[in-house]
Amino acid sequence: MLAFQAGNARAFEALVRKHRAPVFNFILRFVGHRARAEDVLQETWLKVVRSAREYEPKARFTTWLYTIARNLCVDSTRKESYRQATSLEAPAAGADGDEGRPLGEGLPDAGASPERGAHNARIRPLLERALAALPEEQREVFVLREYSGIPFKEIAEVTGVSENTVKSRMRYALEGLRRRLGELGVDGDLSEDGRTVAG
Amino acid sequence: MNAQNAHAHEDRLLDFAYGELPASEAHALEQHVQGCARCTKALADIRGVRTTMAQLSSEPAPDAGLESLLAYAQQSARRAAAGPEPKPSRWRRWLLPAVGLATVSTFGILTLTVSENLKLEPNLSQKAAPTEALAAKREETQARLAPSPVAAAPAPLDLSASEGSFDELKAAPRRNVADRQQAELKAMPKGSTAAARPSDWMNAGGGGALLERRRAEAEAPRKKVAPAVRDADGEFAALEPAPAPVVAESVAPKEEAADEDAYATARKDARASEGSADKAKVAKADSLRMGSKAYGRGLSLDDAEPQSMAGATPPPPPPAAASAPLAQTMPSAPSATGSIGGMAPSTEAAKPKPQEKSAGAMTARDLSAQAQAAADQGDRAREAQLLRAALAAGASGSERLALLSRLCESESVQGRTQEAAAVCGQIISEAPGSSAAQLAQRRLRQASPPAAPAQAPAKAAPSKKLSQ
Repeated sequence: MLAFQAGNARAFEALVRKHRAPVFNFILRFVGHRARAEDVLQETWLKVVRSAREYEPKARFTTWLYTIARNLCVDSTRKESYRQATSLEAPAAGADGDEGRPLGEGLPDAGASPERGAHNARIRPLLERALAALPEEQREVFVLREYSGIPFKEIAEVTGVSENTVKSRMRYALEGLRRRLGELGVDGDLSEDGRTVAG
Repeated sequence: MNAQNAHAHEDRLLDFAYGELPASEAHALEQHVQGCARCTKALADIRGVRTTMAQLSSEPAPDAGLESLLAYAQQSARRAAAGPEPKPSRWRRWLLPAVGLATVSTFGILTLTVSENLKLEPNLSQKAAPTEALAAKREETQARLAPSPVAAAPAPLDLSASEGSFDELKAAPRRNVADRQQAELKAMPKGSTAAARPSDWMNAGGGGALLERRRAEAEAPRKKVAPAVRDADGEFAALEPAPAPVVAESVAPKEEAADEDAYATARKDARASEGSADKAKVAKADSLRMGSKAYGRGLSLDDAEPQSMAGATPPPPPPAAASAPLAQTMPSAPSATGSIGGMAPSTEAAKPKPQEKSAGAMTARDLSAQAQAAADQGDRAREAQLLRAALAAGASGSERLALLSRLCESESVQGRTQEAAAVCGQIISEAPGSSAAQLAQRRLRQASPPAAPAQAPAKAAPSKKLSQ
């Protein structure tokens, strides 16, 4: 980021290549809507470019980047709540298309084997549904830690709460997922062939 | 273990499960978990959820908007490489009006300074230049006063006339000259008035270096035309600018050809003047009239003068017959006036004037004397011829009357009653009631029957033509 501040456009491109997918997944799992997630992703990176001069290397770039992304996600979610938009768990409003389907049903799984793909196609919506069932503050902490790999201390900075609060929210998120997954019949034990042991 | 300790223990389990616990603490915790069933179950629950949720694969980021984002970033990087902009833009925002204001104020100050300098310059030059010009003009005046004492006399007269006491001068013939000069100035064509105007407003505005230069330039031709006027102008320049020099400035350099007529008229008038003491004054005054002569050229005097003089009292029209011989007898006059353009001939032009004037007067007198001699010899025909020539030479006033009377007598003695009647009738018509008229009447009665005197005035008209 310092290189980009100095006028190196290549440095910015490298940052985009490295963080684009994790940030997108965080945004997607935060807002729960692909099209909106894409918009928020573009806004996030544009804001990174515009705010490049304000960046100070006191914190890690990821912390700064996820802070921007999270704030935009919060704004987008608020706007969407005002519009009374459909949530991740809401039924499809349209006849077809990704926009009307719940997130768990619309997510593709490219690059997997056919068996793995079939398994994912079956279990994936359950996992998405369990995740979407979490409160926003627990979900964001879980997503940031589990999928983005942000340490608890940095999550505390991104979310603007203490580290203990972050860990507490993480405990509640794990407990909620375990309970929800149990309800959905998905446990943590996977057979060697990819089958789940559903209760 | 209280609740706080339990939460702290669970937090440590979280750190251990996500690998954020330091190695030493992780090893210690691992040993504790092996001996603690509750911690073992908690850790297993965390690992179970993580393993299950790990099946949720990450989504690839869309490529839409990536190129535009990178292009935008490249543009921004170029701007960043160019340097910071906000501070210079703020500086420029203030710099531009400041520079504009400074430019305007500088221009204003310069304008004021220049205008003040222009105002001051004439004052300074007025103090300095007139003294120099006065000294130069005094030298010239003295140089010209020496050869021609006539020129010195009219200067105070003309000065008084031009200084504004016009009411006192109204009765005097010189006043007519001054009025005519003003009328000439009014009646002049636009070009000449435009040439005269700068002098006027420069005088009104206090003059300046330019004024002094123009005055000096105009001085040369003026001096050549009329020494008397030049001398008077010298005095004017020393005292205060007046209308008379303006007329001379504007008219003299332009109307060179017209000056020939002016000179002829001046000489003719000088010859016709009665007193030799007044000759210089008349010559000076008439020389100032050359402007009107110039404008009246091509017209008859009676027609031209009312136009050009604009209400000024017209002088008695000089006889045209008298001016013709004069122009013939004085061939040097055009050459003298023709050299007005240069400085060198000015003295030459000034010199012939008094000589010409005296020569014209002597000619009339000579003719009269020769006529007297012829009468003494008994040659009445020659006497009459010489008397007519003397009359034609421009005699006026009592001299003319005397010549006419002698001519009347001569013609009567010769028995040429018709000519005698014409001449005597002219005397009666020109000076009715005078002794000469009575004498002429008596001669007419002697020479002709009683009806003749009644016809005399009627016959006087052709005789007038004769004299003209």
